[in-house]
This record gives sequence, C-alpha cells and structure tokens, in this order.
Amino acid sequence: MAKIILPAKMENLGKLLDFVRENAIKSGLSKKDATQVIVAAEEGIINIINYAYPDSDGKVSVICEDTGDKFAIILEDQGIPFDPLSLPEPDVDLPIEDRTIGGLGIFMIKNIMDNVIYEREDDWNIFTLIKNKH
Amino acid sequence: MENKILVTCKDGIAKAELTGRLDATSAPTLQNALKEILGEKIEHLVLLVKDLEYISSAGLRVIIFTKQKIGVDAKLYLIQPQDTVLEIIKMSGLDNFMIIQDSFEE
Repeated sequence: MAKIILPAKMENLGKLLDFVRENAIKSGLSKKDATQVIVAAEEGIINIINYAYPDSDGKVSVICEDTGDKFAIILEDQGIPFDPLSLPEPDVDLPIEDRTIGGLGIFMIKNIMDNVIYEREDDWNIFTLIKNKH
Repeated sequence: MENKILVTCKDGIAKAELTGRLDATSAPTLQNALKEILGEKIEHLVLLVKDLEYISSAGLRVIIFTKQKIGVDAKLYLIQPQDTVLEIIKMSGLDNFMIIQDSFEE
C-alpha cells in the first residue's frame, strides 16, 4: 500500500496523478489501462479539489493498493458528505449539440473501473476505484 | 513531454495543436485559446493530437463546448491520435462526432 496526502488544491493535481501513474505501472497494469485509471483518478480528485471544502482548506489522501489480481485507488477527504455515484449520467448517444457538459466524469469513472464504491465513515468521504488486472 | 497548446484560425479552418497532457490543469488554457477564435466563421475544427499523450474528461468537455459553439455544420477532425487517447475518446462517445484520420488536407 502506498499513500500520499496533500492539500486539496489544483496545483497538487499533477503530483497526485504522478503518484497514481507510478503505482499503476508498478502493479503491472498495461500502459492503456494505466492511462485510463489515471483519467478516472483525475475525475475523483478534481471533485474533491472543487467541491469537498467550500469554506475551508482541507486535504486529500490518495492510497494505491495492489492486491495481486486488482489495482485499487482509494480517495479520502474530510469535506462535506458527497457521493459521486449519486450524480446523473449523461446520455452519450445524444448528438454532440445536445450533450451536457456535466456528469461526463462519473460516466468515465464507471466505464473505466470494474468496481466503484462510495462510503461515508465518521467525517470521511471514502471513494474506492478498483481495476481488475487482465 | 511539455504541455503545449497552439491554436490558429485561417480561411474557416481552426487548428489546435495539442502536445503533452490535456488535463484539468491545461484544459482552461485550451478553452481560452479557442474562445479567442469563436467570433470567426469556422467550417473545420482540426485537432492535431499526434503528440498528445493524455486526455481527461476536462479536455473532452472543452471539445464538446467548442463544437457546440461553432455550430452543427462545422466538421470536427481528430488527426493522428495515439491509442491511449483514442480509447478515452471512444469511451466518451465523442468519436461519433469526429472524423478521425492520419492527416488533414486543406
């Protein structure tokens, strides 16, 4: 298990994603899978940076876990309770002119990852993203 | 690879050359560069992505937003995408609205 904790600020996004990339590759994911996992992680981290702490500064913690047949990313924050899975999904079959900008991120997360779990424990949001190794 | 965004517009053809990573930190730069040319008549929006290594949904949103602004008749091209980028675009369904090819001939 590897863990990084940084202030939930946009300037730290690169560092957090580098951390995920490094661990994804170390776990043996293909370049294609690693890139997709980073897209999913970015979306989850951006949600925390943008929405978790509306009135204060807070931190985001990113944990990467290699369980042998799976690679898991666990995103944690102590911000306002927020279940990303509650967001409506966009209709990706609509013509581009009618597409809405919101909801695309969570749609991508669900498509990329094999399993996503949101939990609220005490004052923590815990969002777990799991990718099966092939 | 260093992130670089170069947007030009001439004779109805807008070109955006994207290098490196198009993520939540670099997408606003592209959005602003494209906003500059929105006043012009654009028939073709050409994304030159040979050296683009990564695109996240922040980047996809800029593409959707721009296509909506330039109108139904404008054609959207994706030129020489790397496999990793193409996979993400296909997953979002945006490939249905793009002409994906190896080069753009004016």
